[in-house]
Amino acid sequence: MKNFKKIMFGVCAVMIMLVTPLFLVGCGGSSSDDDDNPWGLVNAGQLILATSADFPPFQSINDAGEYVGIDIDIAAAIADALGLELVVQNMDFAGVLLSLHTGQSDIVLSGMTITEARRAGADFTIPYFNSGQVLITHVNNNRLDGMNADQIRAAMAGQRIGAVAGQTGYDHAIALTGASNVQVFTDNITMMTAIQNGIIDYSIQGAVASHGLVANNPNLQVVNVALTDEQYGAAVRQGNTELLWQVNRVLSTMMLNGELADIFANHGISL
Amino acid sequence: MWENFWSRAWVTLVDNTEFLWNALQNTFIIAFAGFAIGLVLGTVIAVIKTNPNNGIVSKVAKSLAWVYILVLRGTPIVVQLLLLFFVFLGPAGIPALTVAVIVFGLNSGAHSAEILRGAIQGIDKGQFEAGRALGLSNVTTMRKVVLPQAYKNAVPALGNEMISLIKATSVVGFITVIDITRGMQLIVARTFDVIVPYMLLAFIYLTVVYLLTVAIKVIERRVFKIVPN
Repeated sequence: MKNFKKIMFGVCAVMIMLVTPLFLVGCGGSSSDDDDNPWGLVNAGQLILATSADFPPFQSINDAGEYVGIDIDIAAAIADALGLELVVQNMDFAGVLLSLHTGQSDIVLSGMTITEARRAGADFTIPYFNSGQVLITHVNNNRLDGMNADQIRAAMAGQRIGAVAGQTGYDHAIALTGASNVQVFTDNITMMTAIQNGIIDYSIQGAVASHGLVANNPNLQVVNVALTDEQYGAAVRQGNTELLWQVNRVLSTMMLNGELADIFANHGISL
Repeated sequence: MWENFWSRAWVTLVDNTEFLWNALQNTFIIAFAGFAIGLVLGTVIAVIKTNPNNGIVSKVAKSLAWVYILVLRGTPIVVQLLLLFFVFLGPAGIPALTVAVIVFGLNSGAHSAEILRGAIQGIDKGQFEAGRALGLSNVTTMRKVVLPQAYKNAVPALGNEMISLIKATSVVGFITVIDITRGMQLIVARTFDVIVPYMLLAFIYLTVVYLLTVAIKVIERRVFKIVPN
């Protein structure tokens, strides 16, 4: 009799778990555009930026604990132009585009490469930067000296390459060396320490950020040959055409009047 | 958000079968190998701690055992994983999966040691004295008389430990091992869908733990002839 009760309890528990999703259909509240909130903002009056602050000089945290970087400055300029207060949400890179979906952010600026796959999940602005992916390796590693892009790609087959979840470097690493040789780290900084300690030999990352990550670390070097060609863009929630139009307007104005070039120059990059 | 949940779940499983199966295998490898190592280590430590001898060698061994249990039960598993992978073993070239097995083996060893120590101490002292009276050495008495009874009594608690291990492996993503949890996180990163992968993840853990529970009940009844009341 006791066994019967236990079995019935178990069956009921499983049934409830199976049936719950059916009741929750249509429960996903999407923020709809109404006249009070034409840009579909999560909080009125705020522009919530989702970013992964492990990517100098685009976004990082300085010694005083403040968010600094090119993307931060661009986001601040956009917020300013739209009369909104900028709120920065730091998270792991893989969660950044996701936060647009789950209604936790309004805009993403995170050194994010525009890809077709990502377009399926978010709406991108006009590109604001041209980049390419390069390898970072230990300063004592001379294997790739003097090689061009094709030679480097050939040399990378079968090497241990590090990547961060969700970044285009992850797909490039798999293309270079096969999925079993790619180690997935939680963030860029951890990955840099892994190269330093010899846990992995290479990582692949955007060129400008690579220089930023290596700048303060004398044990690392950038192999300065671009292996890919990419463009960075900002992203908003899919279907948020109003905000997208506004951000594009501000970005193109900044490009034309030199404000964008100034921001990059402030962080050491000449466009 | 929840529309077409079941068909999306099916599609996710079908599209990623090989990837998810590999990830699940990693979870099993770490949990089962860790448990096996832990059982061996735990037996040794428990026997050391319950040894009635009080000579110098015995005292030193007991102190070492005490330190081992203190350190491994006193720090979180994540901290042990991070330290052993990024600082000690990783730079020495040891692959991440091996480091995970080692950490979980050491950690489970500490927990199993305490479980077995309790089980051993729960056995009537008369059993041990009878063995000694028959002329058997301490070690042989332990091996042939006390431990078999201790294992039998410890099966439910050890079964719990096994189940805890399966769930504890969900953090190995911190040291680049792709277990089933990290695997689902990567799928989320690629598809921007949180609901299907994470619900699937919960179902998978639930199923695995349920099957383990059934297996443990079978072991209790058939192998050890423990009668459930």
